[in-house]
Amino acid sequence: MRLTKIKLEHVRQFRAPFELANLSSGLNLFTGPNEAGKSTVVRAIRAAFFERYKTTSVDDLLPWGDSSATPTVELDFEMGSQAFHLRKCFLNKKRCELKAGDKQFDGEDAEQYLADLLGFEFAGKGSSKPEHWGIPGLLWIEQGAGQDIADSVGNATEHLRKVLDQSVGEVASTQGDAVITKIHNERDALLTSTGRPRAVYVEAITERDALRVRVAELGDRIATYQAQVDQLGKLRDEDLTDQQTKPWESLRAQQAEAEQRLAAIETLKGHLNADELAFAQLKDKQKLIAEQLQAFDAQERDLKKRELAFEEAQSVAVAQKGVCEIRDAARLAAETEYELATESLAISRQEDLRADLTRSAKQAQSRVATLSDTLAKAEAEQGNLLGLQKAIRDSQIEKTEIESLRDQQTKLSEIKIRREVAATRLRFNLLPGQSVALNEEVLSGVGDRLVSSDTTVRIAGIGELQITPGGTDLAELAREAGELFASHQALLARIGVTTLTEAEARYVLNQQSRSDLKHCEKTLASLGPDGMDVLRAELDEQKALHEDATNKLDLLPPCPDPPAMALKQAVTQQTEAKVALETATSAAGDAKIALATVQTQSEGSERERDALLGLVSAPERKSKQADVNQNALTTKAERDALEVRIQARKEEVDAARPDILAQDVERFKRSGDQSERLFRERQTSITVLKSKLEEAGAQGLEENRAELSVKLDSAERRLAEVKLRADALDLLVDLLDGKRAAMTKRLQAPLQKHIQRYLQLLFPKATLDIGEDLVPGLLTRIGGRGPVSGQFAEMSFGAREQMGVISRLAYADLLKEGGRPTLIIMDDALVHSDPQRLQQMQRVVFDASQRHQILVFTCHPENWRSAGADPVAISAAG
Amino acid sequence: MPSFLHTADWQIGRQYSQFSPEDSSSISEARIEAVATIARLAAENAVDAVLVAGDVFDTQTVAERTIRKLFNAMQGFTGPWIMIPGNHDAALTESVWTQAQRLGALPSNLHLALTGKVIEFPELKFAALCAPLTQRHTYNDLTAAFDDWETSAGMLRIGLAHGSVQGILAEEIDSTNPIAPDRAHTARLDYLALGDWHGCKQVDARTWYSGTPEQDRFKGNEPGYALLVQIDAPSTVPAVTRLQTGRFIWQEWAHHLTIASDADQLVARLEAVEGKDILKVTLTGQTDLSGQQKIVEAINRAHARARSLECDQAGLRLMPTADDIAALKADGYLGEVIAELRDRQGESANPESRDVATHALGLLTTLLAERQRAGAPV
Repeated sequence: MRLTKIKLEHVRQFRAPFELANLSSGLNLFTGPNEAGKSTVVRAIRAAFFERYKTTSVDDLLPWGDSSATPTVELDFEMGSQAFHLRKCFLNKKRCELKAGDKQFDGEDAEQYLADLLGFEFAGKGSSKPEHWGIPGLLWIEQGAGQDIADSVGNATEHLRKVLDQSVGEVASTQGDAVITKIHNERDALLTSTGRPRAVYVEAITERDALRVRVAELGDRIATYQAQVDQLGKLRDEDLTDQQTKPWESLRAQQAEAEQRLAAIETLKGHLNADELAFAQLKDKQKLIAEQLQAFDAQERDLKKRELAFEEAQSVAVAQKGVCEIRDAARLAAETEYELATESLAISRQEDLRADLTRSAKQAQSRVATLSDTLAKAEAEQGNLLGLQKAIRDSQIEKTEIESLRDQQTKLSEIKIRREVAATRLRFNLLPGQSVALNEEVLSGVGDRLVSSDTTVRIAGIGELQITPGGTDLAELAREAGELFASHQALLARIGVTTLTEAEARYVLNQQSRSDLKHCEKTLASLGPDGMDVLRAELDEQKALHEDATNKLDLLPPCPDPPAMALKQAVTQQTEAKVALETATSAAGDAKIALATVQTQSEGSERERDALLGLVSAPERKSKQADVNQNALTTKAERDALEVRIQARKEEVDAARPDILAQDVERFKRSGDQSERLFRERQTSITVLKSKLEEAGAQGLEENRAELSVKLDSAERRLAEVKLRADALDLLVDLLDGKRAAMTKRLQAPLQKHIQRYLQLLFPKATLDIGEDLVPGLLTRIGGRGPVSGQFAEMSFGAREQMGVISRLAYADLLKEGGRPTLIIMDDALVHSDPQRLQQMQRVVFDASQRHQILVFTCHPENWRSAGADPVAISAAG
Repeated sequence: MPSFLHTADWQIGRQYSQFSPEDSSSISEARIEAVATIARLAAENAVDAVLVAGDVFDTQTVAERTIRKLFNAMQGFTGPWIMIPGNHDAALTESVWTQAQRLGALPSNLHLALTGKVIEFPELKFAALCAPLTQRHTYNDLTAAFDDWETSAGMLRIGLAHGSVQGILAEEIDSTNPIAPDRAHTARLDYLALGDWHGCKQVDARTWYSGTPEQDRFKGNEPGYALLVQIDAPSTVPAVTRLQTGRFIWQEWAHHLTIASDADQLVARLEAVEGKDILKVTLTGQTDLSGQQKIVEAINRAHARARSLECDQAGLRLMPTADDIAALKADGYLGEVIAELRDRQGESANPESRDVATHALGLLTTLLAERQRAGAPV
């Protein structure tokens, strides 16, 4: 097949008609930048074939923003010697026209013709999907789909097979696939994919099994019924026998007889018991007598014992007395020791006290001295303090006061100066011995005076001069000065000084006194932190202590000679002596007590011995003893006689075997009761069983089972039929599938051959296995270390792209051999291949283009430079 | 002259599991109809009594409906029916008879001997000496007592017993109950009516097995009769006539096919099958596709006509000819598969796999034939 012209109008970016003509019969290279329209051209070609002209799902063909347009695609192509022209209009004006040679097709006829021709199908509804694209779907590689070969092959398998069937000829079968499908369906109706029964088959099994169960169940019930019938028969026979023989009657008779005989024996036994009782009584009497005799003997023995006991007690007492004496002596000695030790201790204590008191007195004395000293110092300081306090009071002057004074003084000085400045100066130079009076002042000689206010100068013998200085200020100043002076004087007076200097001196004195006072207070505090009184008290206390100690010392007796031992030693000594004394005392005490005890015992022993002696020597005793002996003899004789009689009776009773007779009575009684009971129970059983059987009999068990058996056998036969059918279908499936697989394998050979040829151009000495589904599988290459294999699906993206292209070219070769049209379209099919591989792929593609028309669309024209084709640029503008 | 109708082994309640449930049901039903036939024959021939020598019922626990149906079927003859239990319906302490008694289904003209006894019919001038089976298994000759039983003067002595006559019946017998071969003589019987053997068979001049009135198994031995017994006078030899009561004919065919005409023969034979036939056909050998087709069709036709038809074709091998295969357009590997299946029928050691191969071959050829007929697309 060879496309000669492609024309698009109103398709996406191609609003104006766009034509690609003069396509070569081998490789055609179309280039253009992204969005130039390459993929649109591909899409248009695909739509022209795959999409039904009436479809509404081709909105993507519309020019952007123009929904009223009619996308139109026209294709001219040749196949063999026939020329074809296809024109399809979509959406707004739907049309489809096909000229095939001199035949004309329209609409769906045209579409179906094309589908059959190229080997694809149409979708029933909606847009065309990959599963419909068949062979063109395989050979027209979409962008980014090159590496995905399994699906495209899968969708093309049937078409491929049809083609290959025809090319391989007789080996295949004309109706093979249809028959296989039918057989598969029949098989799947009965068996699951794993070969387990299903649907009708499994139902047949279930039904058969259910019937088996029911038949078995009925079988059990019938067996039970029959057993019960037999049981009833047996019981009835037994019942009849019993009614006739009445076995319990004879048993009861036997029981009565045994009872009688037993009664006789019982009487005999009664006599025997009486004798035995009497015998027992005699025995007791004998025992009593023996005891009495024994008592006499015991008494005599006892007396002897007491004699011995008394003698022993006496000797013990004597010994104990000796012990007492020894212990008393020991105690006296310990007492003396203790007294001595106590004395020694007292003296040691005394000396110890002496030493103590001496120490105390010394201590107190030194403390007194220290304290007195401190106290004197403190009192002096106190005097200081008082003095200072007084001084402070005396020189009391506030800071503010002194500052006021200073201020006033300054102001006064200022005023004075001003006055002087403003004042009228009066210079005088008087003749000697002459004088004048200035106010009250008498002036003579030379000098000057400032006149700042009305002043009168008296000149004797002349008269008065009145000077009134000019300047209003002077008067004001004078007034001011006067005022100020007055207050100054007043303040001075209040303070109690006459001049500022005095005041200053006072202030200084005051400040000094204050600081001295602080100093003094500090000193006082260090001497007596708690105060003077406390100091004094302490002093008194120490004095007292001293006196006390001294007094006590005086009272002590003089020092002993020899000197006393250490107090600790004396204490220890005394304690030890005390302990020794206590021990000795207690020992002596114990011995005394023991002695008393022993003496008492001895006396007791004596008394006992005397008492018993009296008893034994009594005269009545002897006669009593004789009586008792006599009794003993008589009783023995009686007993012997009775013994003989008892023995005889016993023998008689034993011979009669009363125990067995009693058992017989019991036995016959029980048997009789049992027999009668059994009889009644059996009758009840019979009634119960009878009604059970009547009920069961009414159920027609055997007839039911027979009916069920019929059904069961029928079900078995049916199951066998179904099984036979299932097995046969399974066998058919195996054989047919096997044959077909073998055939497919044979078909794979040519495909293998074609792929191998291309593969050598890419990987020398490599081999690629083709699976039964005609999809590439295992690729084996010669690597650095020998053959390396890998599954197609696990290869890298780029490698799979390349293998995808190679495989498709191989299919195309195969199809061409089968006389089918092969047009190959590659839309950017090798985007992930490296430059070296691309070189190799160009060789591959060129080789293929010798046999097939190949349209390559790419935006990398540089990759196809050595492909041997002139690139044609695609753009919407042209 | 007194006459009797002698019958036995009705086996009422029996089911036939070798047939389909519908066929089994009809065949069982037919047994009760046979009783009605007997009643009709008894009335038509105006016999004095009907003697039923045991195995009236096939099992003890028969459904109430069946019991009633049976006794209803006896209404056609109002004279006395004398019955004894056989080994299938022995008079145990609890049995189908006690059940029937409780149901009140026993007709008044039925004389049922549940214990060994003599029943005298003075007006009819005969006495029935009855030896019913009263145990599940009996090992002694219950008819021995007949020798000592007295009957009133002038009465015919008619014995009824159920068991196997010693020394006469060498083949399979139903029960263990022995009967002395000269009992009729030693007990001075005018006629001894026996049951247990399902075929109609004469033992001696006075002793007969009536057989079952409706055949109930494929093995022949002449069932399907009741015996009309006419005795002129005491001690004369009775005249015994067979009356047909059986409706269905049970047959077993075995055909071995080798050549094409064998199949044609079989087909012709099948065409003759009628409604009274109960037929079991076993086919072995081989046939080609057309032969198989013809046979299958003939069997289907015969199956529709017959009372029951079972055909076992497991042993019949399918051998398609080259023409057969071509006609089916089984080319390429389809043809190979057919050939392989054909060969497998003979080769496999296991008979089961041979059967599977045959069946598979049948399925495939049938499918292909259908496609041809339907004009399936190639």
